[in-house]
Formats: sequence, C-alpha cells, structure tokens
Amino acid sequence: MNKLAELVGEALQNIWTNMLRSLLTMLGLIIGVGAVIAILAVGDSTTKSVINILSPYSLASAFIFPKAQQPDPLLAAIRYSDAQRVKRLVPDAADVLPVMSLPMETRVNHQDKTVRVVSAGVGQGFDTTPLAEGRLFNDQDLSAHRRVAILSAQARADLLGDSVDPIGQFVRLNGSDFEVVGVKAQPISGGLLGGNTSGLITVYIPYTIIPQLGYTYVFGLSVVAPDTASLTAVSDKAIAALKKLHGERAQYEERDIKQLSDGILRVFGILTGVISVIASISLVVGGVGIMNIMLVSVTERTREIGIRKAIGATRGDILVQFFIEALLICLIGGLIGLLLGVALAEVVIHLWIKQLTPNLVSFAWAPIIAVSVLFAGGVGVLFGTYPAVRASYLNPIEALRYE
Amino acid sequence: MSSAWRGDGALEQPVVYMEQVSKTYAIGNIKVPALRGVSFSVAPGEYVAVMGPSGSGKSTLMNLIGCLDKPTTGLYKLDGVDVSAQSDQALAAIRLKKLGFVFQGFNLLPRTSALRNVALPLFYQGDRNREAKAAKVLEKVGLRERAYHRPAELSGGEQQRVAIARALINDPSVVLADEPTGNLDSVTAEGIMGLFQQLNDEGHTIIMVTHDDDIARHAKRIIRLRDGLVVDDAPVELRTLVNARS
Repeated sequence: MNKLAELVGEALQNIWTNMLRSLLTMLGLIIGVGAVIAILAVGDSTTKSVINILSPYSLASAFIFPKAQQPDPLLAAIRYSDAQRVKRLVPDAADVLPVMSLPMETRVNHQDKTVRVVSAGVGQGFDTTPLAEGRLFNDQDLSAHRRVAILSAQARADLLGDSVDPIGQFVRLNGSDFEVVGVKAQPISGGLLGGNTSGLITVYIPYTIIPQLGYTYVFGLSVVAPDTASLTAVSDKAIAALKKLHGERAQYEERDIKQLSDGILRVFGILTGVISVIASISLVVGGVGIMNIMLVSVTERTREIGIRKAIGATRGDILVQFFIEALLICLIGGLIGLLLGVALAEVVIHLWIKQLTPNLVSFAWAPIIAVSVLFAGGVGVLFGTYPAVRASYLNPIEALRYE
Repeated sequence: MSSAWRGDGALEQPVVYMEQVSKTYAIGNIKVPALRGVSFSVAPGEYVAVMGPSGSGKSTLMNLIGCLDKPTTGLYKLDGVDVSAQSDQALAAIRLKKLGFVFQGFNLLPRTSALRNVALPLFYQGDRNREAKAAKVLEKVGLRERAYHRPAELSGGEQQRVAIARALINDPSVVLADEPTGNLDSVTAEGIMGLFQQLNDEGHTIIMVTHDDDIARHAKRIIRLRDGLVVDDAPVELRTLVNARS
C-alpha cells in the first residue's frame, strides 16, 4: 500500500514536471469525456424535464379519434352518443367520455376574445393539474346539464383578473353565461404542451352540455383505463367497439401521453446516441494520443528504467509504475473533462432546454461521475498497458547504455 | 566443488565462483563470442580490478557477475547459489538483495533527492524504514548535509558518493563498480578510490572494472582479460597498495 502511494506520488510529480505536455496529452481525453458528460447531463435534464412537462396529464387515459385519411370520413365520424355505447361494449374501461374542443367568443373589457372550450367529465380527467380554488365537476353538474365552468389559471387571469374572487362569477361564452365553480392552479409546466401556446385560454365545461350547444359529432372519445398498464388493451377494445358501431371500413387512431413522451424521448435518445458515438471516437483518439506520449516517455526514460532494473526492480515494478502514470493522466484528464462537460451542459440547459420548459429538472451527478471515471479509467487501461508492458520488457543492459 | 581454485580463498565459500563461463552474442546470423571460458573465484572481502582493452569482454563479464545477463555456457555461483540459469524475475530479486552497482555515469534518478536515490533499492524491497537507513549510509559516505539535494545540485564526486551509498544500502555480497572514476577528475577520483578502500577495509567485497592502471592499482588483485579469456590473475604488489594509501 505504501509502495503504491509512493508510485502515485512519483507519477504525479512526473505529470506535474511535464505540465504542458501532460495537458496536451490529456486534451483528446478531456474533449471526449467532456462531450460525453455534457451529452449525458443535457440528456438527463431534458428527459426529466419532458417527463415533468407531461406529468399533469393522466397516463391512464387515451384519446381516440377518426383518422384524417380514410375511405369514408362520414362513416367514421364519432357521435356524442358513441361514448355511452362504447362504454357498454367495453366494460373494462373506467370511463368513456366524448371529447370536444371548441373556440368560443367572449368579451373582456369591451373587447372580443377567443377562448378554447374543452369538455370535461367528473374528477380529474386527462388534465390532472390541481385546482387552486373551488371544485371539480360533480355528477349533478353533468346530469342536470348545469352551465358551469372551470377556468385555467391563464383564463382566470385574462377573463376575471386576479383581484376578483372567481368562484360564483359568470363568464359569457358564445352568448350564454357559465358559472365559475373552480380554477386550476398554474400548470407546473408550460412550453412544449402546456396551457397557452396557441394564444388561446382554456375553459372547461361539462361534456353533457355538448348536445345543447348543437353538436352531434365530437372530436373523439377519451377512454380512461383503471390503470396505466391496461391502457393499451382498453383503448384497443374501444377502437374495436367503434368499428363494430361504424363498420370495419372506419379507421381510428389512438393517442396517449405515454406514446407522446416515448416519442420525444426516442428522438432525444437517437440524438444522444449519435453524439455519443462521435464522443467515443474522440475518446479513442485521445487514448491513442496518450499511448503515443507514454511510448515517448518510456523511450525518454529508458535509462531510468535501466537503473531501476539494475537495482533490482522486477518487470512488475516497472509495469505498475508506468501503468499508474498513464492511468493518472487519464483520470486527471477525465476530471477536467467532467468539469468542462458539466459547465457546457449547464450552459446548454440554461440557454436552450430552459426555453422548452420553465420547470427545469437538473441532471443527476452520480451516474455522470461514474461514467467519466469509467471512460477515463477505461482509456487509461486500454492505452496505458502497452507502453507499460514495453517499458517492463526493456533489457537493463541496453537500457543503461541508452543515451 | 565450490572451493575456490585460488589458494587464499580456499577456506571460505567464494562470493563469486565462475567455471568455464562463456557468452556468445548473436548479431543476426553471426555469432560473436564475448567470453570464451572464463574461470575464477572471488572470496569474501576481496578487492578485485578487472582490466582489459575494449572488446576484451570485461563489460560482458561485469554484466554476468551483476546478474544482468546469463552465461551461454558454464557455471556461475553467487554466494554458493547457482545463478547461471535463473529466470529474469529471480535475477532481479538477486540483484535487489545481493548486489550493489556503481556506474561510470553515476546513474542517479535526476528528479529525485540524494536520500531517495539511496533508498530506492529498499523501496523495491518494501522496507518502511528505508529513509532512516539511507540517511545513515549517506552519512557514511560523507553526504549527510546533501541528503535533500537533487543530483543536478551535486558535484560529480558527490553524485558518485550517492551512487556508492545506494550500492551499499542493501548490504550486498559484492559491490560492482564499472569505471567508477571514468567521469571524474583525478583529485576527485582519488577521493572516490579512498572511499572504496575504506569500504574494503570494513569487509566489503569489491569488483571493479577499469582500464586505468592507476585506478586498478588500488585493488588487491587484478584480473586481466583479452579476447574473452583471462590472461593474467595476480595480486597487486604490497608496495603499490601502501603508496595508494598514503
């Protein structure tokens, strides 16, 4: 142990003495590790942020709607009444609701404003953003076709103003008044999907009002599964039920948040993969550079090796000495790369990823440190072994004669 | 069989015993004989100079005695142990425990202090107390104050003293010196030879390669080589010895 500590000390001294050369040697590795770390950190942060963005939406519900391209669009069109029928045909589903999303006109301060009106049922539904005030819709709201509304945080601010107690206020949508019963909290994330991207503000109304507003056809159906795992099975059954009702030629597609998040994450995954390949090329190049310098160092120190061997150092002693030096160069390079990579990641995350989501989730340190140590150590082992072996096999007589 | 063939070492087991040792180098397809059957032995406490013109095989002989190389044929016993066919690893261990080298070019590690240069063999032995021991040996060669100087900060004579201290630290069976004064001026050389004399007086066995008659005269016995053979092996006259000491 003592011997090892001393070899480490001696190697550090050697690296320090040849500072500039050591740094140049490490450069490839620094860039490689830095790139890998930056990608990992940005990827990790992005993945978590995407999951964060999607977290207000239920993972247990799917949206089913007619495909845009199909032989007979009229045949496939989903009716308000289909929700009830599908529910009867698919007893596994926790709920099947008609989904409608309409732009409606309202007036605020004598100015016309367009709001997005979205149908909703009892309970949380698809958008699980918690309530800030008031309540969700209940069974009475639905069965009595009450004209009640839940405002998004943005809608409350734009339509009523923050100083007014919103509960019990009325908002006028396409000429009829809706009583505000609840206000949603500020969504914990926006940007990519959230609230206000189209400039529209969202107001939720009970879906049972849809027929009263004069609509027979709806956008689609919201199918709620008892749990996330059974979602695919339940939505497949719902599509089968729709086909039974509309005919086999009718075609439907299904969207759910898991699909969406999987899609986004897959894109990031591919990006990460591509850049990782480039980074690993840089690691190999860096490793070759280190091997090159170690070979030069072995040649330069041939006489030293000769002295050590003459004195009685074994092949193993010499091997360990040079191996430790290569490994240390790599680990120091890895450390510098780690710091640079993290710095780069912070810049990218704050300049770019932050645009995507205001609620940024930072990356985890542990895997990043592990990866950099692993990469740097791996390069050290891979490219430090050969020069060390070569040093250890030097003939002491020839080495001593070396000028 | 291990008794020395020289009479004066007959009672003790020789430190170095060589019997018909030859060494042939292969340079491509050509075989170059460097030693062609050399026999002699060195008893404990002897002080031997090996002389001969360049190409006589004295360097080869030194490498063999120093266990840096193996003989092609013949028997070499160091301290009664046959080392003529040992593995490289075993030879390294023998060098570590039984041999001390002093070179013409000093061969100190340049970035390392005198003290740690001296302690180096004990480092490979895994001796935890090595720096204290090294300090003692440095004191013996008169360099206690220079312990923390690096070789570049020492004069040639001082560097050679450090090298001698390094050769002594493992209490070797034999100290091998290869032209130890070759890089030194005559005054400094005399000092170094005085040190060798002192070591020999204390009982150290010394074998020294040199081409300089004045230096060789400090030894008690001179082995002359020519064309890979021992051509002369005789004690140095007492008169020369006395002159050298005065």
